[in-house]
Amino acid sequence: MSNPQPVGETGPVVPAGLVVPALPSEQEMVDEIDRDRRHERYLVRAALVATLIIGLALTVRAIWG
Amino acid sequence: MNAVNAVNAVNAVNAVTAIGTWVCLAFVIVGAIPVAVGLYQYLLVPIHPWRNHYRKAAPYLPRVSVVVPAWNEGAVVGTSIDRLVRLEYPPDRLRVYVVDDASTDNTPDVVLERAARYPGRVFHLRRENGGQGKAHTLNHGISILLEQDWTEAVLIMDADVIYRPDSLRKMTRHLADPTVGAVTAYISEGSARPRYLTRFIGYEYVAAQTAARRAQNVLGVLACLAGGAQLHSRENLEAIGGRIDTTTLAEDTVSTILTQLNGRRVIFEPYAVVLAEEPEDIGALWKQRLRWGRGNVQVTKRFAGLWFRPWKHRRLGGFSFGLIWFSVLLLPLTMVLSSIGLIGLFLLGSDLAADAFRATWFLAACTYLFITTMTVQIEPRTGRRSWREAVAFPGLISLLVMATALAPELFFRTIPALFGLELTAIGEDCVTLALYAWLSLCMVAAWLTKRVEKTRFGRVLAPTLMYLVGYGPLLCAITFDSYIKEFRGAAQVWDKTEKVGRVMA
Repeated sequence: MSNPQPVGETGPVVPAGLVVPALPSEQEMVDEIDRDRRHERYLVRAALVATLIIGLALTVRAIWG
Repeated sequence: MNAVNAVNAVNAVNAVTAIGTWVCLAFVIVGAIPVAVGLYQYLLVPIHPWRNHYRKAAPYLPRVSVVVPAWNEGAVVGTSIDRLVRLEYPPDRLRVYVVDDASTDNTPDVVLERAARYPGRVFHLRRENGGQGKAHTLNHGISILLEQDWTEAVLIMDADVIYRPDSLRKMTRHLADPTVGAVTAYISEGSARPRYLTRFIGYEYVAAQTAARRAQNVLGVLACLAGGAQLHSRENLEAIGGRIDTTTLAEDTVSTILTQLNGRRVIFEPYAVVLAEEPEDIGALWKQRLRWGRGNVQVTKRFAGLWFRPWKHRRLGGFSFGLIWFSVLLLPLTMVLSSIGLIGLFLLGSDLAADAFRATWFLAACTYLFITTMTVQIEPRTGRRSWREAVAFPGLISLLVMATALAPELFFRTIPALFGLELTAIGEDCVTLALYAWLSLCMVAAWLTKRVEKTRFGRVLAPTLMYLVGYGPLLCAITFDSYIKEFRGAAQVWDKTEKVGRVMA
C-alpha cells in the first residue's frame, strides 16, 4: 500500500463525511486575541492572592514568634 | 619562644577559621541563588498582561505542514491524525506528514489507512534505516517539505499529543508578525485518570510552562520550544539551516536558541493547549528526564560563548536569562554546596550556621508559598486535580525542615516535650546536622525511591516515599545523574518514552 497520491500533490481537499469544525470569522479571531490579552489580567489577581498568603503566614509567624 | 609559637598557632587557626567561615557562607549564599531566581521569575508573571505579544498578533492562517515523527506509534498515531484533520483550520491549508522511522509495529498500516481516508491531507514518509533518533526522523520530513513551495509554516509535534481544536490557529496568529520565527504551545498532562506521578508532572508543567514561559515572554527570550508543539515559519526554519540539530539530545532547545540568535523572536502561547501522555512510573520518568538533562548540559557547552555576554545577544546573553538558565541547570550542585556550607559553619562553631539555615529556608518557604499559590490559580483544573502534589512538590520532609527553620523552638522543645522527651545536647546536634544535610540527602532519598519502585513493595512504598521526599528533589537527582552521564561520556541513546494512548482514552 502506498500514499493515495504523491507527496506534495493536492488531492481532494475535504473527504466526504469528514466533519470539520467551523472556522471563526476574521472578526471573531480578532475579538479572541483581544479577549485572551485581557484575560491575562487574572495573573495579577493570582499574584495578589499569593502575596496575601505570604503576608498571612508572616503575620502568624510574628505573632507566634 | 614557646609562647610566641603558641600565639602564632592561635593566629593561624583563627585565620583559617575566618577564611573557612567566609567560604562556607559563600556556599550557602550560592545555594540560595536558584531559589531567589525562581521567585524572581514568578514575580515577572503578573507583568505578562502588559508585556506580551498579543498586540502584534492577528488572524493569520498560513499553509502549515505538520511533521509527525513516529517510531512504533501504532497505538497512538491514528488518533493524533484524526484530531489534526479536525482542527479549526482551513482544510486546504493543512497537511500532515508522518515520518515513519522504520517502525516494526502497525504504524505504516495505520498511517496509510489514514492517508487513504484523508487524501491529499495525510502522507506517509518511510525511513527504511531508522533508529537514529527524533532529530534525524524530523529532518527526513523537513527536507521533503522545504523542497515544495506550498509550505509556509512547519509544525513539529510528537505522535502521541492531541491538539485542542483551536490550538494551531492560536499559534499561527503570532506568525502574522514577521519578526516572530517560532511559537510554542502549552503541553498539558492529559491522562483522563492520572496516577500520582502524572499528577506531579501535570503540576510541574503548569509551573514550568504556563508560569515560567510567560515570565520568559516578559523578558523577550525563551529557553525552549516544547518538542511536541513547535511552529516555525518557513523563513525561520530555512534561516537555522533547514534542519534540526542532530548533535545533542535537546534538539528543540538548540532550535530555540538558533532562532533567537538569528534575530527572530520565539513566543509562548498559553492558550494553545496540547495534551500529552506522560510517564506513570519513576523509571520511565528518569529515562525521559535524563535525556532532557543531558541535552541541557550539551546545549550549555555548545553555546558556552553566549552566556552572560549581552554584547553577543542582548537577551540570550543577558544577565536575567543566564541566571534563569544556570539556576535550573546547576540547582543540584548549589543544593550540595548549601549543605556543605551549613555543615561547615556548624563544625567551625560559627553562630552564623543557625542564622544562615534560617535565612535559607525562610527564603525557600516564601518562594514555595508564592509559587504554589500562583501555580494552582494559573491553571485551576490542574490546581484542583493536583493540589496534594502541589503541596508535596518539595517533599513533606522539606516542609518539616522549613517549619523547623521558621519555628525552631517548636520542633526542638515543644513537640518533644509533648511526648515527655527532651533532646540532649548531642541529640540536638545530630538533628541539626541532619537538617543542614537534607538539601543533599533529599536527592539520595529520591534516587532510593526510584530503586524501591522496582522491588516487590514498590507499588506501595514508592508513592509514599515520593510524597515524603518530593518530586522536586527527584528532578534534581535526575539532573545530577545527567552531569555524571555526560562527564563519563556515556552512550548518547535516544530512549523513547513508551506511549500507550491514555490521552486518547
